[in-house]
Amino acid sequence: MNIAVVVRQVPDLVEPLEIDASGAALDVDEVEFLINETDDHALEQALLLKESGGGSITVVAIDFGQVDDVLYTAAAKGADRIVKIPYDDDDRPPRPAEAAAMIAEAVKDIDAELVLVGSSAHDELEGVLAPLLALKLELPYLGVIRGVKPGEGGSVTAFKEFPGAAMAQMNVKLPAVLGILAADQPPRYVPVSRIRAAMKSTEFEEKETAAAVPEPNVTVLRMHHPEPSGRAEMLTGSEDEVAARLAEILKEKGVVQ
Amino acid sequence: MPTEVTILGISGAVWLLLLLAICSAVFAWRMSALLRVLAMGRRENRLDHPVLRAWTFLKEVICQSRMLTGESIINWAHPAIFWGFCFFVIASALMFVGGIAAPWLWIPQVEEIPVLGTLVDLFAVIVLVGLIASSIRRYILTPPGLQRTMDATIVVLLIAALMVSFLLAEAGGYADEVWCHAPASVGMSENAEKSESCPRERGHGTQTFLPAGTATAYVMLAAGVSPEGVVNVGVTAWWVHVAILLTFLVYLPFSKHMHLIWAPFAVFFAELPAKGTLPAADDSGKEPSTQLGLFTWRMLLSGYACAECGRCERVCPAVESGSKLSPREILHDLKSLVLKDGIATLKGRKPDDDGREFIGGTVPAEAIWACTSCYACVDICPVRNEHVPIIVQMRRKLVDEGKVDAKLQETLMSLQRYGNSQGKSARKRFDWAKDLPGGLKDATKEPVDMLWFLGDYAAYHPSSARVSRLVALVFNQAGIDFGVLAKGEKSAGNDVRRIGEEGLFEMLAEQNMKALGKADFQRIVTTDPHTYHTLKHEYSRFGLETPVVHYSEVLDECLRTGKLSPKRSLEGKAVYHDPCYLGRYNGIYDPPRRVIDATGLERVEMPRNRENSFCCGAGGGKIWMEEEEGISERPAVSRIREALQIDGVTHFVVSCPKDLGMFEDAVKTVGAEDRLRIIDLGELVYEAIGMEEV
Ligand code: SF4
Ligand code: SF4
Repeated sequence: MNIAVVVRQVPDLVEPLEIDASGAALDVDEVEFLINETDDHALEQALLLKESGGGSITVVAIDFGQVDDVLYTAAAKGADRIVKIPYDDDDRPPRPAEAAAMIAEAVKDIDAELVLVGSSAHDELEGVLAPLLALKLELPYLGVIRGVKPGEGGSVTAFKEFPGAAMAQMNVKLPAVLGILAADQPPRYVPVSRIRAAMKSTEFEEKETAAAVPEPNVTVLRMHHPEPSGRAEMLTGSEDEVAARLAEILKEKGVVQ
Repeated sequence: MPTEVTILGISGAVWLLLLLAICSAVFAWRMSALLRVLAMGRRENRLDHPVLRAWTFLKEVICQSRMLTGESIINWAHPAIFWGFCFFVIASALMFVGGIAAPWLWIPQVEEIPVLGTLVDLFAVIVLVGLIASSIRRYILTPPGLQRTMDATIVVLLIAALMVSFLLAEAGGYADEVWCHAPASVGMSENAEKSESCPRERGHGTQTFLPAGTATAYVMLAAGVSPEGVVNVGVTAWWVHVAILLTFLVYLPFSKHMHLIWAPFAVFFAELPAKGTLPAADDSGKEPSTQLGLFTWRMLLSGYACAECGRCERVCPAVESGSKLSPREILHDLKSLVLKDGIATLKGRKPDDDGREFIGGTVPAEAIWACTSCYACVDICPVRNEHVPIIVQMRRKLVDEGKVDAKLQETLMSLQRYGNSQGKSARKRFDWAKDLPGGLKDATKEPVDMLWFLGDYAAYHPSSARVSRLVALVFNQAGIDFGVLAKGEKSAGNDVRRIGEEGLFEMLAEQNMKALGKADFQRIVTTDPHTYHTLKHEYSRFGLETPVVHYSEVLDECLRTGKLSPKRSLEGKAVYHDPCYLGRYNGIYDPPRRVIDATGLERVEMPRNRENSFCCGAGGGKIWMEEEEGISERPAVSRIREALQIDGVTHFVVSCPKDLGMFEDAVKTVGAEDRLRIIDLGELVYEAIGMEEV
């Protein structure tokens, strides 16, 4: 099976996020990027499918942030081809519609039967990239998938969870785009020695795209850290004092009698 | 000589030569096979430091130092048997040479050589006593982990038979010389008369003083054996003795007890001079053709050399806590692998291992991950087997296959990404010093005398970071010119190495070296023994040459030179916990003790102290893993209980940032936090020199 996996970069939330001088965007220079978690699961799912049924994996990514690290790691894990889409703006990550257009163009050339994408990202909780990509590719789309197994005659079985602990098992005729929430097992660990070896041996394929970039209808006016609401009361003093005040508050609020 | 007989028309001497030749050939054939199996291991240079090796050999093999200071009974029984063995090597060599040469040339036998003969004679008895004592220990008292194998029994019986036959042969010689052929002038004339009928056993030399052999002759006589009978038994016993020796020669290299052959080599090729510096990973990129190729030849030799004595098992904190790990079993499994796979490969067969992987199969992954790398096993092993490098080698394979538990994986990813094990931003590494009066110097911006390499726990763990601040204040008070790598310090990688993630270790080391290269300093100090060990011994291959010291040494120095002086005497009774990487690994036992003494606390020792210290359970990356199922009691808890057994103990002093957190948790588990204060050495000094919280 020929599988394409799309990976994105998201800001690393362990590092402090700064707002840039415009006051309406993150200061990208201060941001450390890492692989979007669900994309990592999409890659893992692809590796598992390849291991169980053979095939080839092509990882597609837009050249932004620290994407090379992510791509070498993917190669070390077992991706066969790496396609990198050039992107010029260092200060602004591509918007989902823009990204979908670029990625769709690159994926068309790969001739993939199955396209796996993380179903959302923490900087794009709406999860529009995957369905937009399916639209551009004119392929069916199924999202929020937890696990994919190879199926009979050009299909896969996808698992989807619904609220109320209902699990659906679906047969998906290929080609198709699947939005992955979680792979059958958590993404594997790849040792540094393998990543370093991949750095030496992996060649990225550059794929220029000329996708028309729709102008956004939305403008960010202001971006800021949440302001403290002032409702918090800090308890100070000795342990006994703090405990006494805490007990008082709990009584006041009627939590305890 | 008893070889001066004709058997089936052929001279006894020729028979002896023939037997010796056949048995030696079998021995040599088997030994060459075993050596070729060793050669399947990876290369590792163990011929460096020849003088130190020779010295270690003399001390530990010839003088049996590790046995003499070890467990009771065997601490004298083993040396006795071993030294007896050495004397008997001389005796046996003379026996064979003399026996073969007898028809033509008389070679003096050991019982004719004054002093030596007497010694050998006495050793026959001493060895017998030693065998009895060690058998009582093995079969009746049986310490945990000591194996009662068939092989061990056979070897004990063979050695005993050797001693008995030797004594009987001596008795025969005595009877021959004194009762059958004594000149009339010496007396015993009535025996001398029998000289015609008496078989002539020795006839050439004269026996020296052989108390045990002589006594054996008299016991036989008293038991009603005639002098001729004693002589005849002696001749037979001589041949029996020879037969057992030859059996031994053939049997030993096939036996599980082959440590008799290999242990001296294992000691000679021990890890010297520094302890616990792991061999680098194989970066040839080639997959070894057998599972043996994953290990170095010295690791494979450990299998041959293991005496299955179980000492390693008895000191292992993982074993005590009920883990699946047993260092002895690992060595035992390795021995089986070496013998089975190795010999099969030599014969050109596929190893018959039912497709079972050695690493993660025969040796379960849980066992491989349970090791805290405390080195107690290596330190106690009489043949200097190196369990930890073997375990790390197995971990390397598991890591290479991505087989790590979720918690460990998260930690490793954090180390890859942020350079620390705590999943924290590198920018927050020095947050603990934010409000430090005067701030911290950045050694990359201004030259300092001492570069303080923090390590992850001292930087990020809440309790330890608090102590880091106190230590900084104490350093300031002492007038120490110190600084840090404000940008660029990463985890030094000690535990990463022990996890088996060698590539990550190398990456961290390279990044640290880059940062260190930008700084100007004379020496490195750290509060973390793990960091201390790896910087001191494992960074030389990345080019680090500056001396590395532990803060306990610095504090000790400051207190002794008066740079710091206690303002008040602290009250209470303190125990000190030796961290594995400071004590056992690096032999630093006294400086922290002197520091405690200087604070005025009364210092007492826990039963397990200094080199016998008991690991807190955090090392070797254990602190980053999910807890193994079925653990009865964590090592740190057991250690706290040990401390609490001391009457009136108030302080439990640590000198390792990991220890602080481990024991703070453990003392809560035991519910003794109001009785026993876990306190870092730095905080102790801080209090003693009377600094107020700044
Ligand atoms: S490895 Fe050493 S300590 Fe352990 S059983 Fe073997 S010889 Fe004894
Ligand atoms: S190093 Fe310590 S924990 Fe590991 S096997 Fe040896 S004694 Fe056990």
